[in-house]
Amino acid sequence: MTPRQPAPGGDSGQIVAAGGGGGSIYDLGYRGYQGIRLGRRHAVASLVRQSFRQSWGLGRPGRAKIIPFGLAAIATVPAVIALGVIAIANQAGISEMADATSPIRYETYYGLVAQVVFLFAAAQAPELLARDQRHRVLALFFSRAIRREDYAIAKLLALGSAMFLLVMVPQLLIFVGRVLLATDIPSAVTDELPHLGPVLAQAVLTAWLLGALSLAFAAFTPRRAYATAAIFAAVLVPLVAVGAITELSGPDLAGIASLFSPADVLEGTNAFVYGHAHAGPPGADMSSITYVAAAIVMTVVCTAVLVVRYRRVEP
Amino acid sequence: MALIRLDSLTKRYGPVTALEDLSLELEPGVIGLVGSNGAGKSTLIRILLGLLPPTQGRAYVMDLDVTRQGTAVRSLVGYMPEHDALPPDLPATELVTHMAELSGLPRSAARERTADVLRHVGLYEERYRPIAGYSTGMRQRVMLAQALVHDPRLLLLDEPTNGLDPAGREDMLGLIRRTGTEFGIAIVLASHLLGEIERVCDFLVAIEAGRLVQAAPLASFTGHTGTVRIELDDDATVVAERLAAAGLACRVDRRSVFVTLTDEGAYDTIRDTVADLGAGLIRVEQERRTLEDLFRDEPVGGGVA
Repeated sequence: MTPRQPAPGGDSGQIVAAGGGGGSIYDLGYRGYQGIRLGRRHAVASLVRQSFRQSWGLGRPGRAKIIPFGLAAIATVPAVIALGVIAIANQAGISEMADATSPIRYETYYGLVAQVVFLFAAAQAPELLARDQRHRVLALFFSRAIRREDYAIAKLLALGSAMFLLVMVPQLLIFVGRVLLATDIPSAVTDELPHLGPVLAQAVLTAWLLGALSLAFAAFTPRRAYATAAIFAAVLVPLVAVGAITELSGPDLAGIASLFSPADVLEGTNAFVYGHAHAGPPGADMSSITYVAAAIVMTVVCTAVLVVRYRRVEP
Repeated sequence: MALIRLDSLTKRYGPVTALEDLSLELEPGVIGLVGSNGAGKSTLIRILLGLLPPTQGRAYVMDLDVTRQGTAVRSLVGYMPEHDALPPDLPATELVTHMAELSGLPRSAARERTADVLRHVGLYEERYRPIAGYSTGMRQRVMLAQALVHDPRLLLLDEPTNGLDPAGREDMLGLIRRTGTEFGIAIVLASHLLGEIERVCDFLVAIEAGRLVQAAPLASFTGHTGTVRIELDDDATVVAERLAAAGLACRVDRRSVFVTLTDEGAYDTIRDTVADLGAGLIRVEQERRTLEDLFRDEPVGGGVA
């Protein structure tokens, strides 16, 4: 590569004197860029950061924040209630009893916020993808120092981490709250710490599976509403179908059908991470590890669909 | 080092051939890529960006293979697509900063370059407002700014004056010309308007139906043709007959006679003939070729720059 000649009058910055005593207009003209270029890794990281902000509506007008932050608030309500109950129970000296009977624990938290997490995916996955397709911004992205699959993966990382936070933050609140409200803080930390493993595992599985699934659907339409409808259908239709199959032809078939239902699969993985050997529809004799396998297969398939779609799409 | 090198590049979409056996070597400069709609201009540009895989043959940009080193090529190239590609909800400054980062610039440098480049294309206060409210001229400026923001070695501009009014068109062409000549950035400007190419470029590549028609410096197309046009205020047949009798090869087109010059003496013959006949002479001028002539000629296969 031959070094560029400094452009006459362009790089140096001409000074054009404005008539009359006033000041001068400094016409800096066009200047080249001789600084560092960080390449593809930096480009992808910046796309992830930008998309993550987009998934929370950050840097956008207020109405873009309503849905993500509203859902995050709803997801946090059970945690706040749980902490309130602990605080009151501690005051009243009945913390042992409250602890044993509270319906809000790490193990049940996924079930309590599952709908919220799902709504977040259905609303924000199209937010991340639809605009770039609809307004053909993909042409600008794909002509940058990234590959097409980088775009797909960056969007998945962004939505995945947004959903991970959505699931994790309320449970971290419970964690911190329980530790701080305990009378013996060091022993409380030792008691609570083992819970973090399952909480993290379930949060990662949820974020990745629902993130990949919703993006895989959203990648096929530039219309946000269609994408949201399709994601709803992909989760709700199998869920209802599993219920119907249970009623109509018994638990055996329903057990197998539930492996194809994202909501049932995530319930199954939740049972697994909290040490239950069995999961699935009532009566079905399904081992919970089957659902972990199903979750991984589903996630990999959805991620592959997303990547292949972006390799082929005409920018 | 060649700016662009094509080795028998072919692109087919199913049965449709978009580019047929294109071989070409181009040096840095302001290059016009001309051809009618559907001639294969956009296809060629997209292949050069690594956005489309060629069916056969190879393409190199600054000695980088576009199919194998697409990312490296794209970090050195700025692209302005032929269609509007701007998200309406973002302000120009945010979009352009983001695009700079995606080309590998660090965040602070991206912001600085964005401010510079938006000022260079003539966007000031409005750059903080969402693009939805921009006029077509402003949108085209944003598109040019995002192509320039990472200081590319080569700009690929696909119909950059699309949808602009005459004044906007002039502004845009002036901006492109300045960018190419003053700042030393090589430019490939695709257009179906010969006038635009003539105004801005110093090298011309003409393609038609996916085949190379011509690739040569622009001056060689628009130089003198060796024909003199004599325009009269009345029918020119009589003058033409006398000139033919004097031994000059000529052709009549209503009130004009076109004489093929053989030597300087022909001017004297013309002067004397017109004076003898007392014909009303309006002008005698050397005919210049225009780019339109190019497309009247038969396509020449495999011309090399």
